[in-house]
Amino acid sequence: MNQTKVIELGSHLRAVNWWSMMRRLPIVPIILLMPLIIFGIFGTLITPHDPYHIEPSLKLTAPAWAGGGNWSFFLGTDQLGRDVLSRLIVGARSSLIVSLCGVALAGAIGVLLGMIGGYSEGVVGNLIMRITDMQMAIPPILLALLFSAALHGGLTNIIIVIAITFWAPYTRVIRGETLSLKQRDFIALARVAGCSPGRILARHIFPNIVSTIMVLVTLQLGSAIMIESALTFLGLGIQPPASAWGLMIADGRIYISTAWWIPAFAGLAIMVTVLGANLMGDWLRDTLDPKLRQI
Amino acid sequence: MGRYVLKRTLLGILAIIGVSVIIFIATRLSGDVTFLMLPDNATKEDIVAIRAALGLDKPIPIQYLIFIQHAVVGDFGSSIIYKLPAMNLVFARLPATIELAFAAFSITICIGIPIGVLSAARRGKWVDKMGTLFALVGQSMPAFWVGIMLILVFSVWLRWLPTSGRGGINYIIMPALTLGWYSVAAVMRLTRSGMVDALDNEYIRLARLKGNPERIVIWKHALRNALIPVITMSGIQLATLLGGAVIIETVFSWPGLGKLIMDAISKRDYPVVQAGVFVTSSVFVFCNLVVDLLYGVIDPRIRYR
Repeated sequence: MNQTKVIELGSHLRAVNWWSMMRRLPIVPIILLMPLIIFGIFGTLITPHDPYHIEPSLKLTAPAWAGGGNWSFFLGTDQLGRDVLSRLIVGARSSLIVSLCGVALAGAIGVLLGMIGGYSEGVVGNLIMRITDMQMAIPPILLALLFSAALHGGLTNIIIVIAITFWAPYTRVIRGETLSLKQRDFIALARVAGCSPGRILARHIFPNIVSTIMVLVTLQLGSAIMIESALTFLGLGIQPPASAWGLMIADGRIYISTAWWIPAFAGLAIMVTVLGANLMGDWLRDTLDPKLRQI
Repeated sequence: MGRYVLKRTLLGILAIIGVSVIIFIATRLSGDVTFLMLPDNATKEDIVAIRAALGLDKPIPIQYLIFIQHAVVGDFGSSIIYKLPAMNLVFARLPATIELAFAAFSITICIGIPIGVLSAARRGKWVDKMGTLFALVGQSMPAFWVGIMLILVFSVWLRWLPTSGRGGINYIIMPALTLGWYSVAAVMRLTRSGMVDALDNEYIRLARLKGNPERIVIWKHALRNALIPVITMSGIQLATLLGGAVIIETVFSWPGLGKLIMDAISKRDYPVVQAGVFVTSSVFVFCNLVVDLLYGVIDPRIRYR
């Protein structure tokens, strides 16, 4: 009996095509995003040096492999003698928190408005659509600039700014999905059964749009990180002495002729992260909902 | 066709009204402007007087109506810093930004479309893979960082190009390249997918059977149809250009509208910020309108929507 079971298990394992399963997993995005996740979670625990420790005698040291470099400061030091690698690691956390929270908040607002806009007939639905269109009439960066100037810097305000900038695409897409779902029979049956609109939205429509929401969130994440670093670079985002990649690029800009490593590695970090997020979003979209390909 | 034009124009006007509301909300969010304009030893009477003069003591809807009343004639107030009308400052700087945006857009088209066409024509081969990789990586690089790296390579290390300012062609090439860079990826991807769709059609087969050289088949027959979505995408690309111009102009000290807005933001010069964002958004809405109308001309099917 046992032998039969082992043989069955063995043939089942052989029957599963491991290679094609592995190929379908998003290996590259995961590799690219791994550093961000590890740095974000473990942050200060794994930095080789204290990222906030100022050491004027060591300022503007080149990376280890360049002339004048020092192997204990692998990527060099900045203008205040702080280790670049450590600041990169800690900066990951700021970017991660701001982008995740910002996009989550944007999603919450956008999905809610989209569901309401799609489900209600008449004035409310139209009004929400008009507001969404108006919001999308301003270029996103300009919108983010406008509101971050109004709200000044700081972590919470940046999250709010990102939420304000990114909620509109959610509403548009979710409204479309809700509209098409509304025509389906099971919604009509639910209405006949006496469900209130709120209950229909929460229990019947929402579960069907979850995969769309997940795709949208991952697709927006890359853009959120870009806009957050742009705002920080311009001085409207995360403020010093907190560490953020945008700040490192802004600092490094002044020292571009003498210390190219300060902005270079921070920018590479942003690039790798955004690339990972975009690829992950593409994979998720292709797996879950290829109809969204126009986005 | 007339109905289509009318409908689109009305939506455009509505969008501009919406933009004004958003600008109004944002400015009011930033708190009381009066304290910026008064010296430290201002008395309570002074504060009340200034507030009355600026109309800040009236209820918000009335304030909005006053704002619109002025905005319609182009009066956004005077710059707190320069003491000149905000609109005049904005219009003085607009040509520089248009020049930069135009240059960037040209670079985008000249690089993006050929790469997209080549990728589609040699689908799956080395050229395609490199092109797609280039597009993916390109879209992930923050524009301001690309600008700084270009300055590093071409101004600091090679000393070929100046770091900042406006002048001849060697002043505009780096900012335009940086600004257009991000859109290249989007245009390339769109051209590629449009070409792939177009090349699958029957008429392409016929063109080949007729004995046309492959070059004509691709560039004359397929590309024309593939360009339709690219034209509509151009409207969105313009948004990226107009928005990105703010950052690029700051990095390269290009004396355009974007830099004006940025400086005004850091100095809390709200009239200029309002005027600048309003003009930029209006240009964006207008260009989208033109693209929509153009699309209606090119593709008669959508006119009846």
